[in-house]
Amino acid sequence: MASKKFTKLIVYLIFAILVLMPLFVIFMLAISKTWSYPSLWPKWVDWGYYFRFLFTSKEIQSSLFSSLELAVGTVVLTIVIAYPTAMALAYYDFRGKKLLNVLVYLPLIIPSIALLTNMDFIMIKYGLNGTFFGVVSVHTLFCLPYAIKLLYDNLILWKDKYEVASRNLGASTLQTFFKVTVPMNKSGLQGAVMMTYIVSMTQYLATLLIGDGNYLTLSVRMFPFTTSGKYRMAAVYGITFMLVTLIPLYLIDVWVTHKGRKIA
Amino acid sequence: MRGKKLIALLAFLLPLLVLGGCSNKSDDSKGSEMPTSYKTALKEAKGKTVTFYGYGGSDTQNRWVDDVVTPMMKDKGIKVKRVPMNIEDILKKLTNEKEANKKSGNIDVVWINGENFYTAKKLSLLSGNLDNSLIPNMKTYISGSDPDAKSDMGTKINNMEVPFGNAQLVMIGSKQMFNGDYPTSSEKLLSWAKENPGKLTYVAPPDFTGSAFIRNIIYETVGFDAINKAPATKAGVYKAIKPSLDYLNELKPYLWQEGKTYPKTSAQMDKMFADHQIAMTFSYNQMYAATQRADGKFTDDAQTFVFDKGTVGNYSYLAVPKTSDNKAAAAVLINTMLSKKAQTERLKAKYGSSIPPYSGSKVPASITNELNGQAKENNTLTMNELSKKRVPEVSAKKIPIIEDLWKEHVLNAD
Repeated sequence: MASKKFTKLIVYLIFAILVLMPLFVIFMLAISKTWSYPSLWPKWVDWGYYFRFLFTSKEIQSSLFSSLELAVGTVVLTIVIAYPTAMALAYYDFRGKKLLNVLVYLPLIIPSIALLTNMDFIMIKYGLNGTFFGVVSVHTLFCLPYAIKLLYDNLILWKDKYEVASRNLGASTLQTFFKVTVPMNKSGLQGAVMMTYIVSMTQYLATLLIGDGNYLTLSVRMFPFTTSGKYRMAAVYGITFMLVTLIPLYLIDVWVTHKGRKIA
Repeated sequence: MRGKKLIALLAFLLPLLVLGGCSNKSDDSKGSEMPTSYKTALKEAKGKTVTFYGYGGSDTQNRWVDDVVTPMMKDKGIKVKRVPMNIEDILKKLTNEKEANKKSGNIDVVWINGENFYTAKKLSLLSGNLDNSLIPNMKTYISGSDPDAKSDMGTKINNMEVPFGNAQLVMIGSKQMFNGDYPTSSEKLLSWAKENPGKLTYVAPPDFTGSAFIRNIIYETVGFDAINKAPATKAGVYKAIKPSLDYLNELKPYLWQEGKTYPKTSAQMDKMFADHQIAMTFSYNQMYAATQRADGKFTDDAQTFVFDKGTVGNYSYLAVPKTSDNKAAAAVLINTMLSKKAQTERLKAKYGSSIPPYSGSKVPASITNELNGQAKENNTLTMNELSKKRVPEVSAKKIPIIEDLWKEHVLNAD
């Protein structure tokens, strides 16, 4: 018993060190005034710095808005495409299913820089460059593999047995989808929405290239600071980034779980 | 069930159809024409928004654009939008637009220099006509015979670029570690390193400053002429800089970590310097030690010096892509950035203390005084001292070759 508890403690400790330590460093960077080797703690902590920067910087506020705008658009488009695809993959056998399975992962397999350069070319050709739809569809491209995989893994658990039953009892296709498929698949949907949201928020080059400078998101603003070693500035952006990622994720989580309970 | 299968597949294909539907909507409108005089440019540009694309990792530079240049442009009725984008990505974007045969784009003014200008010019991405009549401040402050107004690292400018900032490599040494006796030549540097092993290093190229330091060592060991005259081939450059590579290899075992690894960014090196792990760092900004002191990162211990034989200096430039939709506003922005008012503000520490790109004989007295006053106050080098110790850049084509040779013969020597 005691040893089991001990192992558990070790696991938690490793987890804490791996995940929380870097987070803690970012947090300290955002509020520290001077922090240099070899002192373990910052010599001077300034809590106001973060908030002053957040509320006086027009940049951070406008980029926050573009980030959210794109993320929401991407979530909608991704789910609209990923849901039917995941259902098709999970429920039916058809010609080229294996191929589709591979195709789904293609955006992650091809080096993103090559993919993006060509996407940019295509987008310019189609006149979608710099438009909301253009940027969202490229974000979607990178989100689809995650979303489809998460939905698929969940849908495959029961296959379409319950849908068939529901249709058999006289429910329409739409009713079946919203009253049976979605509720039963809620954890998959939740995962897909969250993953899509995160992936969209973290897109840097895609937003910059396809967005044509119209969408200066948090990642776009943050990236130059991290590469040029302005760690304090980067940390301020980083904290904001985490907040706007975590808070909506929590809300989505609450919403989805709550909705699920009501139906169950 | 067949029908459902079909619907599922159709739903999957729908977005592709939407994409396909837009296929013939390619952009046929032409990019705007470059106005012929500043007056017409000013008139045409009213009410427009001009975009400024450039490196976004310098907060002082960003602040200068946002707090100084943008309000000045607003007074002229023009909005400025600053887009932080690395020059490689800007060039990628411009190349894509060209390949897609797009005639008008969103990028109006680009911050560029050296090898990137060489690439952009070769691909004919830039528009010309940035001459004295269009940019009056160029006429006022930059003399036509200034070599830096004629060519950018060996690439002829042909009115495609306007100088926008002036940079020169300076060394920043720790007073305490060097005991006040700074290594102002490569020989002194080597002998100091032998006495104090592990206390020096440099940023690995292709970092901007690290690459400049290596070029500076080349000037020290074989001289500017040797590298300047060498043919721009790997063999030619290797033959010319062999003594320099030997020097760097001799220095190597006495470097930090015995030269097995190098800091990857200048930020990392600055941090090591601030922590007194190493005795020297470099910067492309003569006031860097002062601005870092003001930020609380360096102490009074950080002192600026240059090599007796001089250090590499180069300019940064502004250019207008061919596809710019707003060439008139772009010209006004360039002229505004070059104005005395904007450049005087830029001397302030909070805007990065950059030296104006003005030609020696045309620098307004107020700017010279301000610079010398700052130099005295911060105990750094005056503009006069710096310009005397300035050596030109090598041709942009040779820089990647030098970086390759360093990697091959110094980094991976054993």
